[in-house]
Amino acid sequence: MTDLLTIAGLRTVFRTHGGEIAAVDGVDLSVPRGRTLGIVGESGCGKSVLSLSVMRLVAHPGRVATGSVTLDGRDLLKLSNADMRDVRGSQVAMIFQEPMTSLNPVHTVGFQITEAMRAHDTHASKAELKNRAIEALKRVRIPAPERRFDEYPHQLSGGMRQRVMIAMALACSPKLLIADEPTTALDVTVQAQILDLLRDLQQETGMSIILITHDLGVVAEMADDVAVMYAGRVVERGAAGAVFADPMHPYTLGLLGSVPRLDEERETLLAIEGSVPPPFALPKGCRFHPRCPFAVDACKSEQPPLRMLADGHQAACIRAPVEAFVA
Amino acid sequence: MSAATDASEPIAPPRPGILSRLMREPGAAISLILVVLLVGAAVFAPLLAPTDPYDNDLALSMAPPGSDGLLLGADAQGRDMITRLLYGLRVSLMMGFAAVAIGGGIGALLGFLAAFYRRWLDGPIMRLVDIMLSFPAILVGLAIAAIFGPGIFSVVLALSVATVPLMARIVRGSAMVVMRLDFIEAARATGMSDARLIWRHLAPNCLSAIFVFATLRFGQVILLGSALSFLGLGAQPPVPELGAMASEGRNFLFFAPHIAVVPCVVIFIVVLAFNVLGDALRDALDPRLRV
Repeated sequence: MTDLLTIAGLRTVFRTHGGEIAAVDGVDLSVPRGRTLGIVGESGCGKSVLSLSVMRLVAHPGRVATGSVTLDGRDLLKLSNADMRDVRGSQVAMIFQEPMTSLNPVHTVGFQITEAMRAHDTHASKAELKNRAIEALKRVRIPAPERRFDEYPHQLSGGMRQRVMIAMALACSPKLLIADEPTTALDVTVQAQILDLLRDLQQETGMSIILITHDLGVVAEMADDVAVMYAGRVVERGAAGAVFADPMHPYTLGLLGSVPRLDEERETLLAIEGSVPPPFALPKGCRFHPRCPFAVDACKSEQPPLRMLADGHQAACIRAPVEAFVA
Repeated sequence: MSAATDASEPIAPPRPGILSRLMREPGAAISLILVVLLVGAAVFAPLLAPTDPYDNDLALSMAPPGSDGLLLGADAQGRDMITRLLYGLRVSLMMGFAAVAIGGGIGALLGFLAAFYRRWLDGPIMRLVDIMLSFPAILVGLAIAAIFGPGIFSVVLALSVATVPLMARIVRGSAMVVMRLDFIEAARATGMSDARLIWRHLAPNCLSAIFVFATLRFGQVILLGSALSFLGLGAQPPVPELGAMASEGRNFLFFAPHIAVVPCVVIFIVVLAFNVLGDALRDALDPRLRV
């Protein structure tokens, strides 16, 4: 199976008074057709900027400096603005973290979905668009879609709004859906419903999903592949099962150690000491070494590249795999 | 939000409309009624006026209010003041409406563009606005009247020019806030064009700010327009206009004060009504005060 999306050497920088800083610094990723890639990391690790870079929606003063984002053989970064606008919504769609604010409060739900359709289908009639929008609402399991069509966002709950956002995103059957923390703002029970829905829709449509989250539980449930990001770089990637069962990078290990689990008895949760370094004050060498319990002198001097350590399982650590040291 | 399951979620009752919220405040209710009455009087002036606005009877010249069945008297030419006021109100309100619509429309568009293309257009547009703001409106009026000659057209043009920068600033401020909201980015992510984003998503969310300012500005513009007409730059005799009527009455202030005072009182009522209504609208539309 070929990859739908390939990101190579992507570097997104922001111009500041202190010079350019890279929020995403040399990321390589790929998303196979019909599969889900989970991108995990703490706040500020660059995962949201990465997704906006794919959509080419990084706002000034940010810009994509180098790299390529190839979708179906076309480099999105080389498209004209008009061509890129055509890609948005019809090829790649996005849903955002905050369903409460991602819908325009002054328009009805139906209007916003038909608008999203109209962006790519200028000559469909009003009645036809309405039918398709109701169909889209039905697809995201919204009860009484005919009635909801004429309702305003403030009349809907968070979960319903996120469903509407999904209906809007899928209005033009994109090949790739980027979900940026789609369930973070929702109640736990609603989270599960939304994740179920995304999975069902993926099976129906065969689309690929990039799921961005800081919630390892969500990734474990949804993702086929996982990429762990730290300070703008991918530090570990591989099949979800492999990464969770056999984490190789000390950071991944730390992340997993900080999640409460039912199947293990643990007195206290492990916390990773310190916090993510801000992009303007990155340490030399491996960016994780100041917080890393396994760091040695060599970690302070050079930045480790991703190394293939097992079948399809890569980590960017010179000491990986590190389980050997965890005694 | 609540954890209520989606299917059983009740449909929220409709919020009270703007009108009912306005009517709850006595000041707002009175100003709204006054505005409706004033606009109605202006619109239906030909039906309401007892005589023709240009009919004069020199025998009635400067007739005081109450005499000869003339409730508000007659002016120097012996024309019925009530008729003149109704038609004058019509001209003044039309001038104000045209100026707010034209100047406000252009100003709002500039404000949208400045906020939407913040990187490229915000600087140039706002500097232009600064330049426009540094000219007093009366001076602009004088210059325009010098170019196009005095008349209603010149006044409307001057008032429009004076309204553009104010509206541009207000709309820009409001649009900047809207631009930061997530739904703009979400709409962009669906592949919508810039023009559509501005029209469908940015503009409707700035509408309350535009509406409030237009109402407040309407009162100011009526006052400014009357001042320009009073100075002789606006409506020319014998066209009835409130400012021009006050100007004509100035010469007879000692013998027949009502000729100047009555139009001034009407101007006062119009401006006050629109100002109070504008403030009340702001309170009614302010989302922070919404229940």
